[in-house]
Amino acid sequence: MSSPLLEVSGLTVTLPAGTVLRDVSLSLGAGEALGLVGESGSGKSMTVKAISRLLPPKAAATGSIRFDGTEVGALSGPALRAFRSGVAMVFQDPRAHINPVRRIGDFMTEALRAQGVRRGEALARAGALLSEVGIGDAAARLRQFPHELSGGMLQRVMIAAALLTEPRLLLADEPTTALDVTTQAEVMAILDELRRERGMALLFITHDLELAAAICDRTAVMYAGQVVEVRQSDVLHDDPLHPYTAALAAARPDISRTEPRLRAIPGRPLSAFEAPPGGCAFAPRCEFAEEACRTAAIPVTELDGGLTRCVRATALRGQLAVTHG
Amino acid sequence: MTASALTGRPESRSRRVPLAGALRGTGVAGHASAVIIVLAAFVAVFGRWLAPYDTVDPNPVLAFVGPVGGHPLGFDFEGRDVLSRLLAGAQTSMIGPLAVVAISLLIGIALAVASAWRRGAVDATVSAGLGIVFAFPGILLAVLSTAVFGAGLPAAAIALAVAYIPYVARVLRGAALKERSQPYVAALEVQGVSGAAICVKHIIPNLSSLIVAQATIMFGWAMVDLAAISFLGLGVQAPTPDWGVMISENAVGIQQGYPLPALAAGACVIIVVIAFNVLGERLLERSGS
Amino acid sequence: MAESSGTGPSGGAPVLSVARLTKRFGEFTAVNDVSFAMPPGGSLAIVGESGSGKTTIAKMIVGLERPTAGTITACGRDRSTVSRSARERRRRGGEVQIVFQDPYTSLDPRQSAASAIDEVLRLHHGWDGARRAARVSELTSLVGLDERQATALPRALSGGQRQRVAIARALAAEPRVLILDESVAALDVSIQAQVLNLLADIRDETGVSYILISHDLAVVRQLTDQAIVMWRGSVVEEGATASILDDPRHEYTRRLRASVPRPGWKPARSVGVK
Repeated sequence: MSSPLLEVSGLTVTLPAGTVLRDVSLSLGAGEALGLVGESGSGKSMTVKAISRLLPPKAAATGSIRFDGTEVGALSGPALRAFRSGVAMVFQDPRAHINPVRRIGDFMTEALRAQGVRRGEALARAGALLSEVGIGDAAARLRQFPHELSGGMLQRVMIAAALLTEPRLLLADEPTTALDVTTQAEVMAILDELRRERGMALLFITHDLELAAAICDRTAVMYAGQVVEVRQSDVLHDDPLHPYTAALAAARPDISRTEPRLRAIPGRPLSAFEAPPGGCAFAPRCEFAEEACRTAAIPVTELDGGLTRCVRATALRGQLAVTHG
Repeated sequence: MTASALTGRPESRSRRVPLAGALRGTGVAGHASAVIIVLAAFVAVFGRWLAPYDTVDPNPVLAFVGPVGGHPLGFDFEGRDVLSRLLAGAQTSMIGPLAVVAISLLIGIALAVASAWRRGAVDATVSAGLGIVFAFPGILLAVLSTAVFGAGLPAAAIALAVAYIPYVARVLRGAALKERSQPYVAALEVQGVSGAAICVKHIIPNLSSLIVAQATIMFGWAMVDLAAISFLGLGVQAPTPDWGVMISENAVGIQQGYPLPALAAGACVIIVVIAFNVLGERLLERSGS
Repeated sequence: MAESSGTGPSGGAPVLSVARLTKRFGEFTAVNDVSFAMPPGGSLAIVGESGSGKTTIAKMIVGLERPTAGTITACGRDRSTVSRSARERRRRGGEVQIVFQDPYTSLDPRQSAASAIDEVLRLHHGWDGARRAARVSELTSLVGLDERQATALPRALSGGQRQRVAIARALAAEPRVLILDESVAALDVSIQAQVLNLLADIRDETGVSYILISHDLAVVRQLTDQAIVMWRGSVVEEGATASILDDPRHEYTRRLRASVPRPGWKPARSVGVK
């Protein structure tokens, strides 16, 4: 695959309140999984909304988002509908995104029937997919209403529904945040398995660095509306390129060890519109910040197969993991 | 999960909301309505002294004479200056609704919050009782009450207030139930703060924007209802100037080709009622209900 | 398996103990025969997922729910039944306090931190204004809030700051036991770390005991010495937090432990379908 399936370049989104995304660039190849990690105000949800054309009405976006070579912002009519069946989305709270007065079967088959598939055929496909996500007795489930299913089960239904149109890209916005941890593990395993089987690309948004690394080949970290690091997931934790990634990983308590105190990052996460126009948004909280970090706009540099938005990246190479080990 | 990018930033507005801030978000219509209401209130307080001419003594010679110099709205059916009567009449036209709103709010809030706090049997009983009262239209209750207590503003106003109580209680009970189920109320309970203190110091203040909005809307309705009651002769009695009474007593002029006095009084009622309605609705929207 | 005797290093009586605590809602048993004891200055985690009954236990301890059976004893006094008087309610408030999960709804939106803390102080003590103001100042400093934050309304504060206010308000009653009901679950990772450090500092300084209700095993490890693991209303495992996590015995604890994302973790599907 030479050209990426999804290519976001220089995406900047502004709202009346201020800028929420600043020069965001990502690329995702067919069948690849990319994790998008960030805290509040990082812009991770807004990025996904931009990609799926669900930005709020007052948002102004510049830059380019190309899916399979076509500019997403320019789509309309049948082309937009085709895009929607090629790019599916799973949200954090399944109950907010499903009509409570319609049966599961009706909900799941709606997109297929709109494409002209017969009802019986659509229900059969839906039932098959329910079994794949681990929901037994599919026929009975299809006749049930959303309130009869638990949160975890409903989220699996949403995943099955998303996969029914055989999308090439799945956008998952914190799909497991509202679930119990054991259910989360189950749903993550299902997502991973189905993705690999279908060769589907996945953009997985979460606030949990380790969760993203679990099923994504690469992980992108966002802070204050910008992408600050993109790295192979298996080396991200032990060899991060950006001080924020390192600090984020170190701030999390370790389940295998009791430490007297956690290495907390001073201050609080900034939103994009609180970030200063020049210099690195993380500089005030960064223990490695120098004068150069506060003045000019920080470009993205390539380093060891990853990308980082840190002017001191080369100098800090190898030090970040040691300090925050 | 924590706030999104849009709301994660803490606001830094000052806590002292200036008067203009009280109207923020109500739009041009809201501001215009507020101006009308303030004017009406001003006239209600000072109308008697602002009226250029006598408002009570009849002067049959001038009955229904049209506008002349110094009398821009002409004379009513008893030869009194219409403008003066309107200015003086603002007071009873607005005091009645004020009493209705005040009484129904006081009792309605108490019932709503008590039901929401105690829930269970208390709530069920209060709701049933209010349901019965709700079945009676306000005007019907006013007619009944004047039949028992005699015609006059106090009887009519109290009857109307009783009719409005169920409406207030229903609206506020829902909002109070929602507040009551918030964790901060549970935190106060765990502290050992008494139920009454929680209701009065915490729940009711958090309903204040809803209460103000409802009160404003209800003022408009009460004004129409009381004007109608006075029009029927059951409320304010002639010769007291009152817009509702003025419509009724000058109605005969419309057929005789002298519509101005009745229409002028009607217009006053309509303008003020619309102002209250518009502002009330805007405030309601803003309070997020 | 390490069994908590409930006595502290000084051998004093447990500051909080529950015995055979049970709660039924009609046919459904939310909490089934749970017992544990907490030594003074100790920290206990009640670990479980949704439906485990952990939040119901917390509510029963603070009096927001009434037990169907069993007893709850705090500071030597029984609190299994509804308090009979306002004074009794206040006294219980001075023994056990709680911090809830959602920072956005656990504060009165119209009250500043200073005002909320002052209200609690007025309730529990007959102090004059100056003494109360001094204590408000001490508490807000203790939780790391500055002057502006202490007098601001909740809507001007971030999630982490609001939780600090909630903690300060709870501590104003000078409780012996502080229940933290998923109190850091809704916070960003970096803020969560700050608040966890704060909680550890507070425990060092004031000697308050914690009961941490959480599903997050890493947070549980960080903050607590002892833990009980709950599943569908019953205790399935108990002991020292570190040993439960390093060497889980019960199948559910093992499954829970295996589900926590950490560096190098890969999710695995459980066998069969649901």
